[in-house]
Amino acid sequence: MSGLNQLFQHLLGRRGADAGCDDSLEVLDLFVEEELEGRRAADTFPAVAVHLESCPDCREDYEGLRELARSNGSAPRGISR
Amino acid sequence: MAPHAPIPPAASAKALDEDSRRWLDGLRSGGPDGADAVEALFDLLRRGARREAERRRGSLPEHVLADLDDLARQAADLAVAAVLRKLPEYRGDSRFTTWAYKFVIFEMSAALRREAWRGRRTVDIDDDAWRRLADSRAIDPAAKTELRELVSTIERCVATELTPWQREVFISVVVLGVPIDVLAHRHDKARGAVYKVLHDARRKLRAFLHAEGWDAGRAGEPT
Repeated sequence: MSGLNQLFQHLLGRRGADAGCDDSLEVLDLFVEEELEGRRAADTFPAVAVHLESCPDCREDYEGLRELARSNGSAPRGISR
Repeated sequence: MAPHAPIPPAASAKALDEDSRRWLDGLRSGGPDGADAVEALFDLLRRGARREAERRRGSLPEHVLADLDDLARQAADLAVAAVLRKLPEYRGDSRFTTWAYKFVIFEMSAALRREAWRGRRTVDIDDDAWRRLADSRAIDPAAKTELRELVSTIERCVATELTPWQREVFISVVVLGVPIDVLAHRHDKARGAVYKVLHDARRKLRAFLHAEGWDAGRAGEPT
């Protein structure tokens, strides 16, 4: 992407329908798992993908959740039988 | 931590993976088993919060680094409460741990942003702030000139077309890099409400740029 387009995107956000923060966070776990399972989450949740490229806070949260989901914390043995 | 009451199962749950099922069964049971499950959840989320802090370590000031353990515990506590409150809505569409991590990421990141910006002004723009915005993305002199012209046009639009609140949000978030969470916290608003203001400001800017002859039509489309 050229410097001009980078600046446009930084200033104006990405074009397209934007899901907003609340709706994006609602499905962020599904979005992350789509990606971790090798599917294109942006195809399933296009408005969320637009939002994550336009909202720096949600983008950072998405990156953090993706890292944690990769680590896959499993239930300790014995918490339920 | 708050006493744990048994939580009713969701009205209709799809097939769960074994691990998610064990978490759900544990958290939904009352008595000692339920308390053990809540304790295990707290520990999982505390470690998750700590890992998130480590991931962001490079961007955190010293005074925040000293408090990471406390911040992680507080975030985990709030996240456990949110998980237990929302548990009846969990349908198993994602793994339980991914779903639960979402709450602690949200709590921890908001806390880290607030602490990192504690005592700092959110709108404190200097004369060079706009120029830095252009120069950080330009490689050759011709591109730098074009970017500076663009930034100058944006600056004019921000000064004349945006409302005072839109101006504060746009300058803070886009020009100065203030987290939206920090603005939201200081104005007692939700992140989504502040983002909506930014979104509306960007729409005005896009229209203004178009009227000024800038081809922003394709900018920001997926590549």
